[in-house]
Amino acid sequence: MKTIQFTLYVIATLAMLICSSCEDFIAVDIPQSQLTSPIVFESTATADAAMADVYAQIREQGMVNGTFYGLSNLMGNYSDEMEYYGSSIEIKQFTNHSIVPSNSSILALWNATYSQIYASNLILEGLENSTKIADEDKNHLKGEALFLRAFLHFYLVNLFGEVPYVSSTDYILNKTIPKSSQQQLWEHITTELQQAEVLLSEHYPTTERIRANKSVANAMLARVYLYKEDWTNAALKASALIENPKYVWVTNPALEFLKESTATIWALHPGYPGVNTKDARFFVFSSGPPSKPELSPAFVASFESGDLRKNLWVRTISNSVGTWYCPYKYKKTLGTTTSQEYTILFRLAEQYLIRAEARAHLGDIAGAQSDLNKIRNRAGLANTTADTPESLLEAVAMERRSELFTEQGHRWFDLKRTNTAEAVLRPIKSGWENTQVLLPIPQAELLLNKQLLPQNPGY
Amino acid sequence: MKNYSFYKAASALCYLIFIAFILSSSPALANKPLRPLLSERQQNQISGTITDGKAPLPGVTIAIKNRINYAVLSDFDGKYTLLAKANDTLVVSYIGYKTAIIPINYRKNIHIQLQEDITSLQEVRINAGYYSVNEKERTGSIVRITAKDIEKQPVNNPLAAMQGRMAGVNIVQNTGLPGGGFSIQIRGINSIRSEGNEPLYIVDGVPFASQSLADPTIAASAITGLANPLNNLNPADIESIEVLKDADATAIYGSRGANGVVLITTKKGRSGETRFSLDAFSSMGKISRSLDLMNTKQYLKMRAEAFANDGITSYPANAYDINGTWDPNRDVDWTKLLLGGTALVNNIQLAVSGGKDNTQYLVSGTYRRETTVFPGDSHYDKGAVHSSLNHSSSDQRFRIQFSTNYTSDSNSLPGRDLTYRVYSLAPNAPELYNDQGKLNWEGGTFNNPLAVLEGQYHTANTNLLANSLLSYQLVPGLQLKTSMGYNETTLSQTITSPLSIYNPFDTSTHQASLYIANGKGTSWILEPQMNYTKKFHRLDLDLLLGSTFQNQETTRLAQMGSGFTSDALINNMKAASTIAMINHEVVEFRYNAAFSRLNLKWDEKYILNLTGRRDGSSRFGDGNRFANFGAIGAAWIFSKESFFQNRQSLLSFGKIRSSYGISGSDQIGDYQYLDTYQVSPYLYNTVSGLAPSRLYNPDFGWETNKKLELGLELGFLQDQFFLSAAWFKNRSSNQLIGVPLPATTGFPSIQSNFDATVENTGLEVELRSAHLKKKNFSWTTSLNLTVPKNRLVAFPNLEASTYANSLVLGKSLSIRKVFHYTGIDPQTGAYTFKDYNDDGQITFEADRQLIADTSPKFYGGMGNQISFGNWNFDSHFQFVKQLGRNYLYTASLAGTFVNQAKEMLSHFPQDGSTAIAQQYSTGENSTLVEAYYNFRDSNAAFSDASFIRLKSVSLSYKIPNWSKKGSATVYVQGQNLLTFTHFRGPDPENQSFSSLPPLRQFSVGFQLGF
Repeated sequence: MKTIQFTLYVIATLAMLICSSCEDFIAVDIPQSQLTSPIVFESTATADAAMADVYAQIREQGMVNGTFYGLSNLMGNYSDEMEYYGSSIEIKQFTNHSIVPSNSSILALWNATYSQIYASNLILEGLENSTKIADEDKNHLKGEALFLRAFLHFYLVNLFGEVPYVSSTDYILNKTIPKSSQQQLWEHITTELQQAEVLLSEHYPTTERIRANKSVANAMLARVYLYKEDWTNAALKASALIENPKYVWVTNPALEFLKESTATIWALHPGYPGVNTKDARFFVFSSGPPSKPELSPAFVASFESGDLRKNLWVRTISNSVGTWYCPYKYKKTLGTTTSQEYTILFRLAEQYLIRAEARAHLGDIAGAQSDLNKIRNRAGLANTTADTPESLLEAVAMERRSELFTEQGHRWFDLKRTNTAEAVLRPIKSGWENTQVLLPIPQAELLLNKQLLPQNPGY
Repeated sequence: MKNYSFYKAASALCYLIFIAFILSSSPALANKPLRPLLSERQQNQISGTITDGKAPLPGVTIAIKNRINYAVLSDFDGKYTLLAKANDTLVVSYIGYKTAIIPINYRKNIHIQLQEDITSLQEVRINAGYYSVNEKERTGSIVRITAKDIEKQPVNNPLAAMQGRMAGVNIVQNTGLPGGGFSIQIRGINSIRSEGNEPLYIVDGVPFASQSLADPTIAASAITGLANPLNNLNPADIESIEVLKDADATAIYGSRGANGVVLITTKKGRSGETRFSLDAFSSMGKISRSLDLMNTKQYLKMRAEAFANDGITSYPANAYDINGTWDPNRDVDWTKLLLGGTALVNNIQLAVSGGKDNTQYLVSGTYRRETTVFPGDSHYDKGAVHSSLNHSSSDQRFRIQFSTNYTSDSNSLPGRDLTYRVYSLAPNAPELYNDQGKLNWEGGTFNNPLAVLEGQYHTANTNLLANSLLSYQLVPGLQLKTSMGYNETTLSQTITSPLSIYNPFDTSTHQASLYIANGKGTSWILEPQMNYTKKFHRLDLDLLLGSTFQNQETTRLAQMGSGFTSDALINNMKAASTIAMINHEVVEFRYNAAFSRLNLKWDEKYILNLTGRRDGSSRFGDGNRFANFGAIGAAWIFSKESFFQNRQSLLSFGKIRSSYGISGSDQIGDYQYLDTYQVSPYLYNTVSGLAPSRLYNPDFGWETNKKLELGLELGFLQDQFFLSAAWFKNRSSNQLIGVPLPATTGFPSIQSNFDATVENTGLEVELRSAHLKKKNFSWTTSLNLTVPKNRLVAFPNLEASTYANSLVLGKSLSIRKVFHYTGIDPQTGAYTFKDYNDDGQITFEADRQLIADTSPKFYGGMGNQISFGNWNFDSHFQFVKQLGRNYLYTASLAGTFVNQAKEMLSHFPQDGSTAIAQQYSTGENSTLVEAYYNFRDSNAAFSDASFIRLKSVSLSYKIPNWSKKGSATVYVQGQNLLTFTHFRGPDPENQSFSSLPPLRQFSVGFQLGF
């Protein structure tokens, strides 16, 4: 009897076990390295961390990153700043103007930028639904996200012309999003920068100038007005910054790119303490012939004699085989006890140059001269001799070339917006065609979204 | 029952096991005989020797008729002892021999001589995972190899031993480096996602993770990124490998059976006297094939011509090969220098086994050391300990099986495969070492390929797999079982990049760095089961019910330090000036299922097999977590019908079988249904940011795979000649894929079910013929052939989808759309292509209209076993008919500072517009550059990659009369000895220009038993 009872009990237990499919058992917790999206926007600290990562992504990849795959190098090669004799065909295509639409550097730029735009949009949407973050913090974060969105689209429109303006995170919408016209793009960029300027506070959210505040949006607006040839507003916006006591002119050019520089408006934090810039790590070399991109001898020769920048911001390497030059604005190729240099994206000198150019167009000869001389004198050069709008514009262009070289593609964008690319590049780039003012839209992207057809002319 | 907590279940289970123990040891219950004895007489000890007429046969099963679950095995000398009653009958069976039925008839010593029999191969029990089936009665499609086949090959990975031996199973070795990876496809590609096609591996009942624990952030750049976790198993410890293919066999594995199931069973102990065995071999390996490259004279001529073509008269400063910096008369065979070494393998295994009636054990230890063909002293070491213990209570009602496998390997290979450098280095590149014996950088002009050897790359793996199976027979026919398994895998990687690996002439930007990564995976599984068998007159019923609880946790941690003050401190993370945390993740996966099988057999002729499983997985969001899978299989052994039996027929065996069912796949990764932010790998302002994890889609569910199979098995002339053929049609739908998205969506893809259908059909034929069967001589040939066809059957709106570029309806998944190469333009000297839309230009979207299909057309193998006295000879050929990517696919632009295949000497204009290479260029001519890119993506880069390979050869000799108690065998083995192919490149199997091809190995060894 006992055996039967046992048997039955065991069978029952087993049957119960076998037949149970337990919802509980297969429920797993959210992994410890992740947070659900709504929770992120329930506190300023986590929302801040989400925002900070967009900056980190901008530093690591895409347009303004300091590696060979950022604009400083790629567009330096594309214009007349740099030369390259290394083995990367991808970079060579920029140097030689033989870019094909499948060029992976172009795809990387495109992908990284839209991924950063997505992250900005996700923050904007998260903040919209958030109830727990104080209005003050919310507005500043919103301002930063709007600013970054405009900042990133600015580079897209300049490089590719017509591109999609992405302002939501809805992938169903975004996977077939059409291009906007260049005019629409510029309008979006301007409006959003204006909105950002209102939302952002005067204070940086961090002790250092490594995230956007009102002045950063202001500086960007000055640049955008310059590109749009809205001279009055460009001058106005540049003045606002120049007159802002927070930003102090650095008189010694050797100190301009240090992290403490008082002329810095916005710089990128390198991440870990003790790390310096990618720019130094990628551009600086100490022997020749280099396998890295180098400054073109013609560009180095274009400095006026006595220009301090040629000695301080350019490094010359010579040996029995030849002489080579590398950018040397950022010098610290290795880590240091505490970081010494940050990659600077906006600095006061650019604002002077913007105002000089705007004033020259507006006929303010003396004003333009004074702004230009501010730059020239610091470089150890005498006052400019230019005294007509035309000669002044030429002098500004020269000065921009010497001052802003290898900084996020300024030279190329200047050539493009002043329609001088043809004249400057035709003689020195055998592969030059005038359709090359725009880069090709990445091949892979065209295959994934037919709305982006047709490809830019010439590719 | 829905909310029945697991923890309650676990305690109930423990209770169950406890009860089982009590039952087995309680004298009142356990010793109670199952049925009354015919007489009260004592059991007698019966002993004897079993031979095949010439030599003793070890491992023969001796059972007693009508006594369930009682059997002993003959020992090494063919001796056996057992307890039986004087009027019992012995049933003596052994693979390859006719089963003998011998009444004891009051004898004490019974010597038995077995008769060889081919028919009995049909009697083999085949492991089907949760149950086993008699080969002749199986309804599903299962192929197997056994220790016999594995032992003949000096391989490190069990997958290598399976190559070419199983119909429907296609295995490719990716690299010739020890510890490298394999890719396996069972009946073709089912999932559009390339990583969704892994089979399920089960080792002794424990699921074995097929993903490497290597940190994904660096795995891609290092050799061991290709590491295959099955390297953690020791082939010599494996008794058999079964591959389950059709629905009948795989549906009981439910959601994880879609891509087939590989069951690995390790060796068990046998009763008999304590027996030691020693097996040792050494092997030498060399690369078997390489790319034929240009010599210096040819290379420099090409370079000079390229510069001339591009109008460059003075060579640039960094064209060291041709501008006089490097010696133009130097001519180095880099293949010989860097890949020409001999890889040595030393392998030794010692095993002890034995046991008595109720308890058997086996313990074995293996040590293996492999070196590489590269210069330097890189090596791979592996140690394995395997143990197995079986015990049964004296009444045979309670049984326990316990086995553990522990392996540890240590891999200190170079961080990079040197193969790529070999195929690209200029043949006049300078010496590797300078006069002082240091690495030569030739004044900074030479990026020394051996620099990578300065860095240390070290990977260590350990793997512990423990499994126990408890069973208790409650009443005759009803058995309770619990399988419990635990698997723990750890991996640690250390990579050092000291300053000395960098060109010292350009030190400014380099930092010494140390990278440390650790991974750990633990998983446990619990499977309580109930098995009921009953015979009702002519009907045999076999019912299995069971459930599965599985939990798997994976942890990965990776950090990197840089900025060491001295290379000497590079192994200490504390000496780094910057330490970055690269990865830290903990992933948990839980899985729960209930399964059942009902097998009905009528008159031993008609067999019906029903299997089903309900699965739940934590990989899916609420509402999508559970799904049902199942299959029906049937077989008819028509040769048992009276009209066959009455005739003197050629046909000795005939069976038709068929199955249909559904299995699934959940290979999508964990947590994919969550809407989350995750900790970013990057810091900003010294703190970690939060990055969006993915595009949010909570609604995806299981991928389903419907499988249909028809099979025919025929044996002729007492099964001397045996044919089995199967036709299958599998359809995979509801595809679980990351649908590629344009970058404007912020992510490259979104996880989703996609309403596309992939179909795999195929014909598999296996043939075995025992041509000769004489007393001292036998010769058997076996052949397998698979003709697969993979087809994308449905894909709604393909043209508008993101796959328009890579897939075509009605074609296989392994296609690539390519340009149609039409020869060299006599004007520009550039490659030309067919302009399909006549728009005057060659564009990626419009003109890649040709299809190159790299899926195999057919594959298989042929083996021959010949034994003559004490000699045994075994050879196995593998063959594949396929199209593959040739060297042109990865070749650099001819004329640049990179060496080329010798074929590229045929060039324009010398060899006209049908030359292989277009006009040479240094990369300055954009027309040529563009044409070069298109050429790589054209049909010219694809050519025949079929091959026939003598995969393994083994010759062994058993030394007669070695000693009274022991035996000795010496053997020589060869692996990949011969390859016949027209492939344009190094190796038609891995088709790689950056990974070492599989090596040709030759080994010598011996086996001692005492």
